[in-house]
Amino acid sequence: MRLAVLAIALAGCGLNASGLDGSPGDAGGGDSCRAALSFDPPIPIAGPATTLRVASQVTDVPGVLEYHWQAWLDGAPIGFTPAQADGSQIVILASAPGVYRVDLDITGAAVPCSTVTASINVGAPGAHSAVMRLRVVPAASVAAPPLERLVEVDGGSNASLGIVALDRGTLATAQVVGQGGGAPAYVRFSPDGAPGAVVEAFADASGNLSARLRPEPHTVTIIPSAAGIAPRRIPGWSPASHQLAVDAGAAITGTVRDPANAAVAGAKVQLRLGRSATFDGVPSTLATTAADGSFTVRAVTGIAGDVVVEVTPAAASELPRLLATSTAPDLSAPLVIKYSLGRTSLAGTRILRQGSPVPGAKLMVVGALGAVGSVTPGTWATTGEARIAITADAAGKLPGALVPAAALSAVITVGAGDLAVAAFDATAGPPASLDAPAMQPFTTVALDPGGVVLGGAVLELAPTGALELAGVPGGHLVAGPSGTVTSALVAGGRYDLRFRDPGGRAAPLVVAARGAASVAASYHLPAAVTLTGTVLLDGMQPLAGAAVQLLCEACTGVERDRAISESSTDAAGRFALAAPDPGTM
Amino acid sequence: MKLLAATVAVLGSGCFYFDPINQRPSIGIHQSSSDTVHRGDVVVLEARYNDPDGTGGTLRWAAFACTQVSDASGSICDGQQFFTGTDPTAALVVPLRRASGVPVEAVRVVLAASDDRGAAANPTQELVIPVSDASPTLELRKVSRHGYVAGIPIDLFGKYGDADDGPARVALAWQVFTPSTQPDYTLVDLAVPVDANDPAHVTAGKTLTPQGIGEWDVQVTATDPVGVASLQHLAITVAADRPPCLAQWQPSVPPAGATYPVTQRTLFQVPLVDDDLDVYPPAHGDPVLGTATFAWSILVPGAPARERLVGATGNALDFDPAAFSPGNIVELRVEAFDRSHPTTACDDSLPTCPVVSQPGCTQRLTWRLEIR
Repeated sequence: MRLAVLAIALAGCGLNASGLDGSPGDAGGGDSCRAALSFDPPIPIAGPATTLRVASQVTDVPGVLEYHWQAWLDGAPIGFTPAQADGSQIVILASAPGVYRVDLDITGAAVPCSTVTASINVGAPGAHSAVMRLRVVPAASVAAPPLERLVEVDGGSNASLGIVALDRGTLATAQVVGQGGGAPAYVRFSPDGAPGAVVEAFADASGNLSARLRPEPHTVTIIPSAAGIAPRRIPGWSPASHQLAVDAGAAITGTVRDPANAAVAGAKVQLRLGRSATFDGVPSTLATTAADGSFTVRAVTGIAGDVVVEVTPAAASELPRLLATSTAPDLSAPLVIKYSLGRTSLAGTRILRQGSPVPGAKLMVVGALGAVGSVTPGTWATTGEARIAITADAAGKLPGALVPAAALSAVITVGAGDLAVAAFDATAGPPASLDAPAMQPFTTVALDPGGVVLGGAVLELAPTGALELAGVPGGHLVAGPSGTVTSALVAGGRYDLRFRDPGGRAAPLVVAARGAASVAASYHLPAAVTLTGTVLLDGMQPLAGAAVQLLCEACTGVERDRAISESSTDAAGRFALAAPDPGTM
Repeated sequence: MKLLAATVAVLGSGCFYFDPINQRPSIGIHQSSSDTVHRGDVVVLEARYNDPDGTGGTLRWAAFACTQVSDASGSICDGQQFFTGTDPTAALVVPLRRASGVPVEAVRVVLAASDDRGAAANPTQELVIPVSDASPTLELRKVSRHGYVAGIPIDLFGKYGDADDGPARVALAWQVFTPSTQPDYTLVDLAVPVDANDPAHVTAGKTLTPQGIGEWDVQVTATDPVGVASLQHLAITVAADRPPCLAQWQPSVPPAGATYPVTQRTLFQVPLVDDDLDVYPPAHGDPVLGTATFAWSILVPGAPARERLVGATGNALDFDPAAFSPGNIVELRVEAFDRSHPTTACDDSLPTCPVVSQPGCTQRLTWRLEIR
């Protein structure tokens, strides 16, 4: 379905009312002039012979009326021809796609008529389309829940989204109630009609909270901060309900043992229940293994989806994090979690830069591992993540730290902002040395689809692989007037290059897994189309200072919250967003 | 007007009648408009008419443009009047120039009258009104799309004219009086389109960029060719660039004593920064407006101090709890800066950095996170 906006404008009330897909607008107006505009055809496609007939309907207005028209395409004035002897209709040649807007001033009426404005989207022939999410979040000072809705973006043409109505919602007051009464908690409300329009709240020590919510059922996730109460997910919760009930849930017990079958004490154990491709699962309580390796967590069981056990041993154990996933676990019996992996000591490995030792170098040895153990009873698939911090001595030699006997990487910090990544294979024993090359400079240029430099374009450097595992923060670079970005990347590291143009001249571009040597001299950002609209609070009041974001519909995880394009509303509630152009056939 | 006269008639022997003698009316001129008259002004004069016989009469006004000395024609005044009238009140517009083209320096007004029986007022009345050069007119205004903030250009406009000399012959002088702290400033020309609909006026423009706060005074003097000047002042209160305010953020910041449970990779972001000059998201196409910048820092368990996340200067931070141990309490902090506030003025121990001058504004947010 194409997105088309037919705006029926009201004279006399000072606001435009829009209907989507040609739905008629309300032509109110009280005692003042009542006038409306309509387009024919309602869903036009641009072409050499495409014409748009714009008709005015003026009712209950005595006088000899005169009609004064103006027309624009994407903000630039265009011509038109009268289509009625009295001037009440015009015809516009719609040879180019875009947002066509007409203004009509009516004179000669016995009552004053304000300017009537209406706009319509004229699509490009053979346009592809893409579905995206539009998120509007009012400023923190405005009491209203966020809005999220799907928008269909057509290729090859700018489009108006018309009026985006933000509802103040209802003020819901509720209490998180456990067995002993009110319980403090973090509470996340996800409306069923727009799951991304999340509202978060914190219940106080008595369990009380208030939040402004959309008047519809919500899926509520509660993570109590009081010990012994299991997190819970409540589907279909109504804001009219005042209680959020939690309890201790079921006790899930087990033990954690190392490769030598010795108890692993001090490890953190947590389960996630109901995990799916789009949902990270409801956590259990968090437990720490006792001296005998035993643990007890509490969780609400019986949630459809996978169960994940996460074991994070204490740093001193030098064991990797273990993640075990099961589609049908038996949680009634104690879980036996046993590490089984070979380990290698890095004792004596030297950290070098250009052949010279790096005294005091700090290493984070990381690696995404295969099976690092087993969980019984039941069938569990295990993986591991190694994150082992080691510091070299004054001679640049590593102490006797144990690392998994696997393909690993060392993220080496030589100094502040001076890092290197050295990959090594620990299956055949420790490497004699790890080289930490200097940061590697790079230069690239951001260009628009036509090759014009994009001064002010932003390049986000998102670490991947070893750097991501080590928690190295990304970088934020702004291109100079020539579109040039110059910086340095960690040698041996990989980054996703995320280009975007805050000026809306081009759409974002993500270039995956680049090292300094593989950064191209320039990148052409893809074409963009401009989406415009007006945010009204309660359908009436222009909402200024609201954040407006365009988000990926198909993405999951953190990418689902990363804005493709972002803007804010002006004093009249208007916004403009640059969306990736889906193109045309 | 009906004649009123007594008739004396001889009604008998030795007696006769005669008509009384018609007397002349007397007249005077009263200037009811301002005594000070400039070229182009309207002068209002009133005739004072009195006839002892009580009869009505006819007035005749005539006004002549004059100079103090003879012009090329050899006369002080033009021979042709520029105004005539018969009403008791005469409103005459003082011409700019005599017929010879020289500027008018005086107006000679002659008022004559006769009554309805033909008796003329004697003498006729004359009034010579000195005429001065017209002052230039001057109107000032100031425009700034970004408020009146130190370091930001302010467009100044002076619209001027001169009734007798024309705007083209008026000279405009600009003078800037700084606040007592004497901050620097620049004042450069600003091109202003000519208004074809108003040929009597010209608008000149300047762009003032004050580099300091306080009360600024711009004095503009319009002077015509004979040195008559009009002076106007434009007071401008210049304020300091205000600190940026974090206006919207995700996810929620927990209240004091509570923690935000991070169960998965989470994008911490500030989609909106409110500021007078450096906003977020960035404004486009305005050479004055800039973009707010950000700094992210983290305090992890066991660390001696909060650590700035080098390179994390965007409005969002991808936080992966897997880099920490479950149960850890981590503080994640974001601060917003602008061109005038590259740091915050708050102690590191404070979770927020309220801006005293702006209630509800904070330059800093701190999420207290529980790793799950």
